[in-house]
Amino acid sequence: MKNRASLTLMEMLIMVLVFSLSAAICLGLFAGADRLSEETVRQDRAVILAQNAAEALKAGAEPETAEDGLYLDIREVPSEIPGLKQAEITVFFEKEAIFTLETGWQEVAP
Amino acid sequence: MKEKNSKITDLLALLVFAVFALCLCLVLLTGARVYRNLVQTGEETYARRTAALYLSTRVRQSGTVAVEDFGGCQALTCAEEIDGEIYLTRIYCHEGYLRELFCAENAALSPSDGEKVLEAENLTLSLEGTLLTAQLDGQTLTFHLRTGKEALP
Amino acid sequence: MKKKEALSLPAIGGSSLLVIFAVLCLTVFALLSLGTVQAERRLSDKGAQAVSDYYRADLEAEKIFARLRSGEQVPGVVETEGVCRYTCPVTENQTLMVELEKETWVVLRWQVILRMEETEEKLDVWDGK
Repeated sequence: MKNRASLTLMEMLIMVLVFSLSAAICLGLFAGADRLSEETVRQDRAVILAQNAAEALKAGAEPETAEDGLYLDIREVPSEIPGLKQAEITVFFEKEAIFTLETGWQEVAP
Repeated sequence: MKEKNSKITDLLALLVFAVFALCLCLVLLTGARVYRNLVQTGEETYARRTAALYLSTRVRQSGTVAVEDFGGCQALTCAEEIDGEIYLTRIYCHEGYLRELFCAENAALSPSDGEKVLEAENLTLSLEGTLLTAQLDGQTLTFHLRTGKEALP
Repeated sequence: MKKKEALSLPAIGGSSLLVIFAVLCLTVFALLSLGTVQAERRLSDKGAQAVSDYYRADLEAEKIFARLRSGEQVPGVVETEGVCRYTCPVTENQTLMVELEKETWVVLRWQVILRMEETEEKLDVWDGK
């Protein structure tokens, strides 16, 4: 006849294992949610950055090419239509492209 | 002697149970805190994104855009002609909210008459040639204006 | 063998109950977090798509503008009273409407308007027959 206390202890041991397993799984889910949240914030900022750059190019001003870990690559695209300048704006985060925009504007004769 | 032993084992079991329950509570509290932080970040992101998209949409959907002073604060004024009359949509920040006021050109209205759009502290506007720069609570947006009083080549 | 216990011992199954409760709570928190963040991500994607759509239409409008400036006759451009008018669809409900002055190429309008659905279908109303 086992002591009640040792039975409780054994049961607790099993339950610790069960809880550790489920906690590990939940921790993984939390980590995934955190990563997705960071990606979302980054995407929002990338969209605004690209938009600002496109508008600056259209106005003939210098665009902001970097902000807080995100950086832009503005590549001028050759255009078949005379009088039109085209560019492709890509926002990168640590060498990964997050958002791309293509824009064009009229070439004003000097 | 046996009784004392079993008493010690009982005490041990109770202690372990108490520690176990405490650990469980801590883990649950941490989980709740993580969830709350996630939701808070989500709300902030939502507010920023909505504000940016709202301003962008408004600027792009308007005819002519100008920066004017309205009751002491800077207002983005979009003019539209409806049935021969000019109507103005003013977007400005007043008393902690980004507001929008749609009225006839000559209407005498004050900043508190505007409709609250979302919570915002400060809206700063500047117009240099055709480039409109709007700063809303730390977020910077630029727009190239095609039409408007300052935008004609 | 009933001993009068000075201390109350946690019942058998007490820790199981506690753990089941804790696991349930934790799972709910984790799933809620994931659900919230996924919803946010969908909204963000929609925002990015809206911006892409606008710039796609804007580029198309600029291309037509450049072609008009170089003297080309572009199909879809309506010219009345020295003003060239054309539209580029942004999304299903939005269109970019452009009006240019033909001689000076001044932009009179470069505006996104909400496309109104023109339904000319009449509803068949029962008239008692």
